[in-house]
Amino acid sequence: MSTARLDLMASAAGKIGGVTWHHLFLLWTDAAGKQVCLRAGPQCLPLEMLYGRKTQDGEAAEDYERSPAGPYGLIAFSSAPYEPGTVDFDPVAANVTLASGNAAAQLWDNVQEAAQALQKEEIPYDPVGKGGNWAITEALRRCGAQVALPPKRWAPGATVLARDPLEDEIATRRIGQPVAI
Amino acid sequence: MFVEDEQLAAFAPGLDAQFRVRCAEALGVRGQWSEERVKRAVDTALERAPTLGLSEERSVFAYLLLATDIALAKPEEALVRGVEAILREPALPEWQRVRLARDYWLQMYQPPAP
Repeated sequence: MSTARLDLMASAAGKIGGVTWHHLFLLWTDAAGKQVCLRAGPQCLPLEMLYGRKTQDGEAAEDYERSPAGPYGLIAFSSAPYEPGTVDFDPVAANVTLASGNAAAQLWDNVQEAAQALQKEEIPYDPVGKGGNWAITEALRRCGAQVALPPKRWAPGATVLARDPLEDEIATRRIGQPVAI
Repeated sequence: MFVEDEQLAAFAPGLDAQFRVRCAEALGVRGQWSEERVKRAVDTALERAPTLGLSEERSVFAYLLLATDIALAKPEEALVRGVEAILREPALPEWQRVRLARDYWLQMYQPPAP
């Protein structure tokens, strides 16, 4: 028997400008060693990202239905056993342990509830803002957990970006280019 | 309505000058620097922005604030290279690049221990 624990995992997901970015998910390990992960992602993908993708029913693009919430739909949480062949399984993912023992069990229960509540808020998925990484860390923040990311792993969206109020006032006009009035 | 080309020739420089003033004002409240130094910093950022593929006012403005934070923090060169690489990512629109670069900076920069 080992001790139950809850880990925040960071799995390398791609590169932006050559810089590796990571996808975050939570990994619950019970005292018997059984593992379950909790992830957040987009409800759907934009049509241009579906071309060439296959599903069990054929071409993914054929089933495309545009979401009124935007190209990625809403933020959607899902939970599944963590085992080889599943979408988030990554044996080399970096981790940081958030809690162990009874505290972990309590946090796992709370974070699942927080995830459900967040999903009910129907927040549009924004891949460079309120996306999957934001949703996972936001669920943790709502449980009062200290969110520390695995060291030196960039997880876009995990940080809450304080917007400079002036940014909202400034137009999208291009410098020195035509102006629509 | 759209401003005709002839009108624009006289009009856009005025807007650009106004934008430059707004940038200087925004930067000026972030520290106690001389007016001259603030203007120089704004001009440097405005000059640098096109080389990073930034031309929208909001992107240039966000870049100016980010560049100032970075310049003041004096981080490791590798971190600056990472920020610039994200800013140059050709596959993303400029506003997304600036937001991601800022996100990267905020997550990866560790202020030196006091």
